[in-house]
Amino acid sequence: MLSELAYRGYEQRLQSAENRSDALELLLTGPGTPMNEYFRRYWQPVCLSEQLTDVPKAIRILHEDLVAFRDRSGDVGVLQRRCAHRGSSLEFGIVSEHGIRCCYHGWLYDVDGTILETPCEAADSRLKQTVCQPAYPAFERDGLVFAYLGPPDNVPKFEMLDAYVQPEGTKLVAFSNEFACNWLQVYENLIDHYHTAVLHNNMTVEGVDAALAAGASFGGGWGELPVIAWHPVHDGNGMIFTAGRRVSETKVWVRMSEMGFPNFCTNAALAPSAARQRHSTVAMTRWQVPVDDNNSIAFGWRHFNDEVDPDHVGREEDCGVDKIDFLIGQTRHRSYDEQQRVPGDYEAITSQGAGGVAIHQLEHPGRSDVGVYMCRTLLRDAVRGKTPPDPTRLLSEAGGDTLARCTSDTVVEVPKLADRDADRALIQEIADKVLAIMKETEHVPSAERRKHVLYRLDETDGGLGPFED
Amino acid sequence: MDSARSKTETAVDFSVRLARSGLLLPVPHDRSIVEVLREAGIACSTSCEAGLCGTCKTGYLDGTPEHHDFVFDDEERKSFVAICCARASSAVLVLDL
Repeated sequence: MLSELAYRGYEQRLQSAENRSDALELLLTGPGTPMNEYFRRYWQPVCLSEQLTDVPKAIRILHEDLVAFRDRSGDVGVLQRRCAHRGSSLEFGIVSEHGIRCCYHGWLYDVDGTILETPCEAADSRLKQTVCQPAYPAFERDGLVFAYLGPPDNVPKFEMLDAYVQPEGTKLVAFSNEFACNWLQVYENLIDHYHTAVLHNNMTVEGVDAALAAGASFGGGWGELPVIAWHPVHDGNGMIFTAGRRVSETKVWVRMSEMGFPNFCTNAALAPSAARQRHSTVAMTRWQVPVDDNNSIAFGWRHFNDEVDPDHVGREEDCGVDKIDFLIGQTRHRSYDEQQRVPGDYEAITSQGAGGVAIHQLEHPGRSDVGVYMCRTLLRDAVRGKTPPDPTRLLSEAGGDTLARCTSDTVVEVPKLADRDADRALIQEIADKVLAIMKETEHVPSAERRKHVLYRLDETDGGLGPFED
Repeated sequence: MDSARSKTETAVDFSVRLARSGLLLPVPHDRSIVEVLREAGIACSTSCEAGLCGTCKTGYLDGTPEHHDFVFDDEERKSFVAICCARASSAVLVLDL
């Protein structure tokens, strides 16, 4: 006998593909929307330093056409693209010693948008005192160009994390990855950690090239289905997952990655070594920046150091404009045939929904999706102004120490219990303990944090022994 | 942040009363309302059982629920609970069942 759910295509074919208003509240980022304003309250990456050359770079961020350039004195400008004079695009402007000159009638704008010259006008022209090219504050750091697109009387300090300078010798390498889809579904991918044990675990058509298949999987302990929990952090201004996996008879690997709303996240290690290292922290920092509602760009840094990648599997030279060095399938530059045979994050994410926008009410979530729904709920609270200010942001405003984050991979000595369910409950207990230790570090001086974590881990399990296998 | 959504709170005992039959059923800290209802032979529609889909949406008439779902808005929460994951801070939660 057929299930009552069998062959229901005809009945379900006309289901509404429209998002409800509470979903649109997060998905729509155009001018005047609450999300647009929310994004504008934070420094956002807008392009890579290497894209600022002797010609201007046309960019589109939050539905706004802009031009970015580095003038010949080294100052960075982010201006609206259309010249205030007669509307020519400043992407055809000439980058000058100070500012940028429109090609049409030569108006010269400084990086702050004030007019330096209007060559066709008489000397007594009042234009310089009355007109400007709309501009935004900008700066460069480690290969990323950041702009602040919000109200000028409320410019936040750029939040400095421990991970930008620790461990010693850390190198940040900038990248961008362009996604032909809405920002939110890419951002949610971080907190949707179950997929790493599926999509990134030999999810390939039989017979594909072995190197290609290997490049689409993390290997190591990643294939083990984790025990996951999700928690809001920083008074609801962010959230984390903890993912515990049994990696040997005596050892459990606990991974955490963290979101900072609206669109920032830090990922732990992107290498198999994560499952056998005592403790490492951030391997990637990312901002998912809306271009418009159907396109977004992941800008960020890959973090290179011996702690987070002891085997040096990461490749700095493969990180840059629209490219990244981990897992095949992160970017749009593949043949359709390869996309089908070796699907990756790009295929799974950009194909959600219609026209690049996920349709939330057509989803059928299960218990493994609590993280995604918690993320949406917290974001909705935040964009509605229900969330108190982030205490760590206030700390950052006050200056001083770099900021702690929970993002980490940790291996803990925990002998396996014979009963699988009991063992999984034990793994969750261990994950909670590691999380508590990571949270403690917020109250420890930055320079002492790693030492503190290692000390508390040793206290918890008596020290990490050798792997028996 | 709505503290009711934090999963770290300890689930405490409370009871549900079914308005139509008057039946009073205790909900132990490690059982959901749905589990208790089903054990009493009352059919409940559920799907995700994690407070995400809203299939188990049920009206309540009295008592103070602790909402642990991620799907209802403030207005809906005034009269409905997701019985797959909701708890109660009052001793009794009266369900419109």
